[in-house]
This record gives sequence, C-alpha cells and structure tokens, in this order.
Amino acid sequence: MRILRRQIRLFIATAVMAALVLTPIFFALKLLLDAGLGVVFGTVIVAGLLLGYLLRQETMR
Amino acid sequence: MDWELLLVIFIVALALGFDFINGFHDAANSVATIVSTRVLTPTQAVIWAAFFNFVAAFGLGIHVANTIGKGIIETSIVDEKLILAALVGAIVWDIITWRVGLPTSSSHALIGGLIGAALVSAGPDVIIKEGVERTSAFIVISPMVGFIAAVFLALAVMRLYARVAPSTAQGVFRRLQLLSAAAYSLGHGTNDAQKTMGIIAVLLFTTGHLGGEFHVPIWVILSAHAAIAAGTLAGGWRIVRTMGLRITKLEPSDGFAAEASSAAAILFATQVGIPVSTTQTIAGGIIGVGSTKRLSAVRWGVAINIVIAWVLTIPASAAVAALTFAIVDEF
Repeated sequence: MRILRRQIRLFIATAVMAALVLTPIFFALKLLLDAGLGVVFGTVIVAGLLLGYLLRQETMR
Repeated sequence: MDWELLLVIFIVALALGFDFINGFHDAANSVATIVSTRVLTPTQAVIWAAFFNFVAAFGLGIHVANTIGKGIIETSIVDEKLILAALVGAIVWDIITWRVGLPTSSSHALIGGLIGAALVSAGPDVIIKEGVERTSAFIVISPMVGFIAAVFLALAVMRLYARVAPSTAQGVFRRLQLLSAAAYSLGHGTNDAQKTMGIIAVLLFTTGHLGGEFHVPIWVILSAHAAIAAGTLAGGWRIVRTMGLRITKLEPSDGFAAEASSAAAILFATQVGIPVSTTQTIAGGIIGVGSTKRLSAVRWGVAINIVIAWVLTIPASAAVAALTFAIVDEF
C-alpha cells in the first residue's frame, strides 16, 4: 500500500514536471514563429547544435 | 453515373488507401516502447494506438488540412489529374524507399507530389511560396524540437528519480507510458489524417462537389481518421512486434520522455497548421533521450539516413508526380 501511494505521488509529480518542462519550450517556439520563420529556424538549429555539443562534453567526462 | 464522378470517387479511395498505409506503417512509432517494456501486448498496444488515432478527429482542429488543401499550391489549377498524379508520386516514392529501407516521410512525399504535379501542370507561379517554405523549414525544425524537448525532459526525469528505487520507478513509468503513447497517437492521428483530408477536400472543392467555399466536410474528417486507425489495427501489430524487440535498449523512462516530447512537438505543429513527419519527430526525441546517456549510444547511421531522406523526399516525389501528370495529361 505504501509503495502504491508513493508510485501515485511520483506519477503525478512526473506528469506535472513534464508539463512544466514542455510548456515553456513550446510557448517560446510560438513566440519565435510569430517573430518569423527565419528566426525560429536559426534559433532551433543553433540551440540543438549547442545542446548536442554540451551533451558531448558532459558525457565524455 | 458519369466518368468524372467515378474518377473523383476513385481518387478519394486512393487517398484513403494512402492514409490506411500510413497507419499501417507508423503504428510502431507510437507503441513500440510500451511493447518492448511489456506494458501491453502487441495486440493491445495496436488497439490503444488505433483508438487514439481515431479520437484525434474530435477537437484538434483542421489547420493542417487547410494548409495542404489551399496553402501549398493555388486551388484554381487543381483537378482530378493533378491530385491523382500527386498521390501516385507520393505512393511510388514511399514504396521505393520502403524497399530500400530509407526512413522517409509520407507527408513530405505528398507535398512533393503536389508540387511536382503543379509545376508540370501550370508552372512555378502556382506554388505558394510561404506554405512551401514553412513546411520545408519544419522538416528540420520538428525533429530538432523533438530532440531538444526530449533532452530537457530526460534530464528532469533523471533528477526527479535520482533517489527512487528502480523497481518503484519502473512501476510508475509503465503507467506513464500509456499516457505518452496515447498522446503520441493523438498527434500522429491528427497531423497525418489531416493531410489526407486536405487532399480530398481540395479535390471535392475544385470539382464542384463542395459548394462555393473551401471547407473540410465532417464525413471526410471521420473517414480519414477511420482509415488511419484501421491501418494501425490491420498491420501495425506485425511491425510493432519487430520494433518492440529491436528497441529493447530504451528504458521505460526513456520511452516516456521521447514520446511525450515528440507528441508535444507534433501537436504544436498541428495547432499552427504545419504538416510534419511524425516518424522523424519521434526519431529526434529518441536521439535526444539517447544523447543524455552517451552521444555514442545513438545510432548515427540512422540519423544520417534521416538527413538523406530530408533532402531527397520532396524533389524525388515531385519528379515521380510530374512524370505521372505528364502521362495522365495525355489522356
């Protein structure tokens, strides 16, 4: 019973966390899209490459 | 019954057939992870995906259908021959790439088909530059957003579960995956079925079967969703069984992060009316999740194949459609 209650709490916490992580990303994406296709394209590519580079640095340690 | 009406009925059936194959082929993307983690059996998983493919018909809008119907080429030049050529171009390209194992997008093939047939029919002036530019940009943006969102979500999950026993976490993610797979199936259903709706609606509009104003009739919405759901049910389980065994390296938490972030990316694109490749978006999500472990954990060969597909699909399907239109136009 205790494990089940803990799992329910974790379930809710994870769902809320996913919403908190994803919502700002797509809100920002909408703002960028409103600013122009070139803006959203450039920003997403640069952000993706930068993130890839940072992950490479972190995971190679 | 006149020949023109028969031709329209045939093309509508062909478009629904294209939608059916899309469901058949893409079912694995949404449910492979819940099969590999044994949350559901392949049959249960496919029924789960098909249900949400169909439910997506209600309340998610028809922005993508409008883009396909009147945002890629001028509707004034659309006729039965052009739509037939566009569909043939997309289907032929899909079959060729399926045979050689290249992960291409049916959606982009359809857009390429429309462009190719329109170019031969009336020249470059009938191509709507803004619609093509937005769609082309999102070929790259959508998987990249899937990648970025999945990285952030996977890192957040790692942090939240740092002190949680693996068996407890496993139990939570088994249930969460049901939600993320449902969300992905909703996204797949709505974005992909709307491409078929757009094709059928523009055909009906330009042949005078839709009245004076372009719109998507309810029977077109329901039949497109029914076709994609039926495709998922009919053949998906076989692909799911293979995929489910192939992607065993994904942990339940990884599957959740990849599916949830890809679903969000697809639903976002749907709301702003942009047709995207659902397959390539979830590939971006899976690469994102894999990258948080180790960049070398990602099968970069697959990623390179996706890039080749990005570059080739629209021009190649456009070429097939152009050739088809030239042949059909002789009759």
